[in-house]
Amino acid sequence: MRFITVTGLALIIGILGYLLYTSFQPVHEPLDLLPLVKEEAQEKEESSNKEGLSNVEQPALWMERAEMSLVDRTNRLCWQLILNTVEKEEAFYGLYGVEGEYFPPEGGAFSVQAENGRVAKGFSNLRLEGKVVLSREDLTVELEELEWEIAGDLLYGKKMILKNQDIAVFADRIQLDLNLERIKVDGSSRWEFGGG
Amino acid sequence: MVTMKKLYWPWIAGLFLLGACTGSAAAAEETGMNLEVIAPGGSDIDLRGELFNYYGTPEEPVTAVSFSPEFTVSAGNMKYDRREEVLSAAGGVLLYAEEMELRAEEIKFYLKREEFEAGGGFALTTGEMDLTGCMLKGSIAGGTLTATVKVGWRFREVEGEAEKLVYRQNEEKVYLSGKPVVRWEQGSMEGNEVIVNLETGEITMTGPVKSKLQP
Repeated sequence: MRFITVTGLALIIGILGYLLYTSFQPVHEPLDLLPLVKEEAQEKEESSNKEGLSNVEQPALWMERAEMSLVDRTNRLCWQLILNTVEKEEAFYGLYGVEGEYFPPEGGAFSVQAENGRVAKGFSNLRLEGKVVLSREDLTVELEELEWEIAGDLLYGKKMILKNQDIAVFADRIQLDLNLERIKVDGSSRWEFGGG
Repeated sequence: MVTMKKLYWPWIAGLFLLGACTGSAAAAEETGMNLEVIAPGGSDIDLRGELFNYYGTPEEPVTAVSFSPEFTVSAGNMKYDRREEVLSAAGGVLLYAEEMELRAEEIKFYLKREEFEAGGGFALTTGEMDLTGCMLKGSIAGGTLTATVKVGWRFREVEGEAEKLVYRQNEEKVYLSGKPVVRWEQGSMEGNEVIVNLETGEITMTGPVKSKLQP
């Protein structure tokens, strides 16, 4: 009888212990289209505390060297990016140290670089910021900001410098078609032909 | 035949304008010339089709500056078809070159053909010469400059009108037709055709000539 009581108590304590243990474990959220994810929320928290940043609210998710692929509404691959770090914010993912490729519908991929950016939670919108550079053998486009939408037919940019073999264009607000062949400038622009 | 003061300057100036406009495009294409366009009211381009549209604002026109040779064009809007090599400017077009100014409602530069057309009325001013009319065409390859419809010209104290003015470089002559009139301080002449020989300074008037001399 005593043996049964002790065994029963041990079993109950074991179950309670397991339940307590699992309830204090961090929740792992799956992230669509973001393979190669390394979660370092705990590490980041610790390191931030060490640096005296404990008052700053930290993002819930922190990833390093994440690869992100974005497709349009027809499932065509548009962006393939490698992100130095990704932070999960409330409504978007913050992207830092962006490299990769942009694939226009008619071919001829551009290499992409940007200091930072953000992508919407549903991956329907990408905004690259900082020094954004799209370059290909025949064309280089530098911008301070570039925005793409999954359902859109245009790219929107700010503070653009476009250069090809003998043309340079400087403009504040622009719209580009997805092939980067048609450019519409709102407001002032300056164009240089030859000698550039 | 009446001999008058030599009227070299208007035609030389016209030729200079022709050269400035067409030569700049050739230089842009071949020698990496610096052409700068400032479009304050927006612009759009088709890189594949090589079509460029520039828009001004009511306050500020589109400005194109060529650095070699030096000239400036401003207009309400401009179009550049790079494949066809046609530059069109419209809406209060103003072309400045050295000691010269051309105003027109619209100007088209056919860079490949080395020709230009100024329409909707033009006024060419250079040095001591003024030339006005409805349309001005120039061909650098053909060495001609043609002003048509209500042509008026003035050089120093001599002035006149005609319906058509043609300058031919190879002949060094200017042909005025369509009731051409030549006026100076002491009188005027009217005939069927006036030919101005720029080498000799002679003016030949053909057809029934009406002349009027004042003391």
